[in-house]
Amino acid sequence: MMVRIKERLFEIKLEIKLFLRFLPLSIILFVMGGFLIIYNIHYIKVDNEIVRTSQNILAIQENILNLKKEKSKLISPKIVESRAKEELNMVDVNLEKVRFLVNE
Amino acid sequence: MNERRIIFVSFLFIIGFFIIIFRLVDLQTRDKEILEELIKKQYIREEKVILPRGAIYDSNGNILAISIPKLTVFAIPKYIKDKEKVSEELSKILKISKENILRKLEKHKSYVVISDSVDKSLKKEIEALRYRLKEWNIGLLDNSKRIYPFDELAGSTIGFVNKITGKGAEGLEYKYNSILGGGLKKIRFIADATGKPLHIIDTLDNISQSKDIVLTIDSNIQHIAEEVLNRYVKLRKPKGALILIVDPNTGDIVANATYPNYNPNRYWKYKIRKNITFQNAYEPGSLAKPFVLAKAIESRNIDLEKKYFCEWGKIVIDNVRIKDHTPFGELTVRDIIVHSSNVGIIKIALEENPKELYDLFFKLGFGKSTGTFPGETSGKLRRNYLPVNVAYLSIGQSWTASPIQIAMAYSSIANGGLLLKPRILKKVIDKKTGKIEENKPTVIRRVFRRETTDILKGVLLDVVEKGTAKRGKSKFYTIAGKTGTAQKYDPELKRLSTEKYYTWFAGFFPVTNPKYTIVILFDEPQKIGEKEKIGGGSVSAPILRDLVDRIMFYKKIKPDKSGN
Repeated sequence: MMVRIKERLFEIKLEIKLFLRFLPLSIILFVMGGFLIIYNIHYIKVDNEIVRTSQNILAIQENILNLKKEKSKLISPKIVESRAKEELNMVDVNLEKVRFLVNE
Repeated sequence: MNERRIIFVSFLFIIGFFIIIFRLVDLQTRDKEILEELIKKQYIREEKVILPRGAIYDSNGNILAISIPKLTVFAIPKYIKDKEKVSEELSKILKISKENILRKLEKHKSYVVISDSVDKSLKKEIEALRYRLKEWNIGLLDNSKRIYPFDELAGSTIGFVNKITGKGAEGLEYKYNSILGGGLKKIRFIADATGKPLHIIDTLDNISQSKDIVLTIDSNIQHIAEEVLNRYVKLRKPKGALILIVDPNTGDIVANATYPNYNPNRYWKYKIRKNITFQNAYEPGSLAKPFVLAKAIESRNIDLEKKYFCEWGKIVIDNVRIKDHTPFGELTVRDIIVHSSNVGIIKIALEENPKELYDLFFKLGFGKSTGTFPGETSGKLRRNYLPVNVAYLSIGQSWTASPIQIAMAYSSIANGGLLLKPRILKKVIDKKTGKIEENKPTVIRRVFRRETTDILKGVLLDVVEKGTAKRGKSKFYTIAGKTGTAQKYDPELKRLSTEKYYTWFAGFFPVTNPKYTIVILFDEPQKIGEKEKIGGGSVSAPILRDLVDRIMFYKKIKPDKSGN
């Protein structure tokens, strides 16, 4: 029984020795793999961020364009004139009654 | 034993790696193209989109045309499982009637656009609807819609963009297609299994090459011109009419109001989309007379007080009888222009060298397109030195000119003798680089001496103050110009009509320092009263009264007439 245990211990010692011999290589492979995975996760994250930011920029640009359009509609001479007449009760200038007060 | 096992396992691993590497090399070399195509089919989609175009601004920086990003919602009806439900749900989002959508889905089988002007803010809602109903054959496309915020203001000049091709189809939109960009383009994007874009490869920003343009049009003056024109169109019911305002010092087209006009936002609803300022030519009638006088001043320094007998309104040349609108006896050279005597000006013209007289008209730009607008006419002016043709040349009959040619010719009188190229494009702005390209005014040639134009200005001022255009004179500003009336040819009667006319006014103001050249034309205006005599003086000149003061007040230019 003791002999068998000794033999087994010897085998385990040998396996540990062998394992220790390949350990640095395993660590290198593990670190490299880990690095690649982390890099990939980071890359995807940054890519998503870029896509989201570009979409936000586009959305803001679209908003600006829409606001520009709305502003242009509001300052259209036709709209300004109709609002001045309808909302502020302004009337067309009677050119016959215009007098210039210029002292130059 | 253990070492052997490890070597064996390692060997298996190495073989496995080699197989994988071999397969990778094999995939990337031998079947590369087939596989790439497969990937493209599976993941990369291509869709046609309308690219955004550059904006069009007026001279004050107001937007006249702008491209707004929109969405096109389409469907492939034959694969839609529940058309009723899809119509109902889409109608709630798009605010289009359910019946309308359902009709489209039932009428078409393969591809139908449900709406091409959907606000981009609705994108998420529509995508959610696709997922909820599992209707993958409802699609969304980026799109761009051309909007003209001022509606019909300068519509016939700006033109429009075809909503299917995304390219300018008429007017300045067409002329400046290469600068404004736009059009249809395929964009590529990587999509998931449901077709939803994950990553757009060609963004619209990358493929769109558009620049903004700034026009010389002033939208406020344009509005004034259109309002006045519309008022007189209601009164006179002509076939066509226009008010063209140009800066005589730069050739800038400041306003171009035309009738008929159209709203470029709904261009497809209009049958006539011509811009008569550039695309039509008319007989100028008496507008030609000041140029004959200019020739007489330059060639022989004709005395304005020299008298000509005007034959009591009738003259026969080469057996052709030409009449005056009113019989005149003796008239001075000045009065021949002021009262617009055909007989008088024909006599002056016949004393000139006919070749040199024609040379002057060609030098003024008649008979040649100015190249400002797409489809622009050249007018019709051909040399023929027979006395009757010289007579017709001098009274503006049997040859034609476009209103823009008339405006530039009168601008040459206003600016001291220079013929300028009309300018409607002021600047080109590259949004990406911020670079601004100025389109500078172009002097084509000198056509008159300054002294000649000074004399002409005095004569043309008299036309408005006491001559045929006196109904248009302003209380505040001096206006110089000439009325014109040309009889239209009646194809039914096969002769010149006594009922149908072109009525003109061409001139500039203020005379002391001309700021604007103006051309007013009515094609077949109707009489207001039975006894009214249709002519440039009765139809076109009165418009000046409503126009000049408003424009000058808007520009805050001091009156140049004394007594105010």
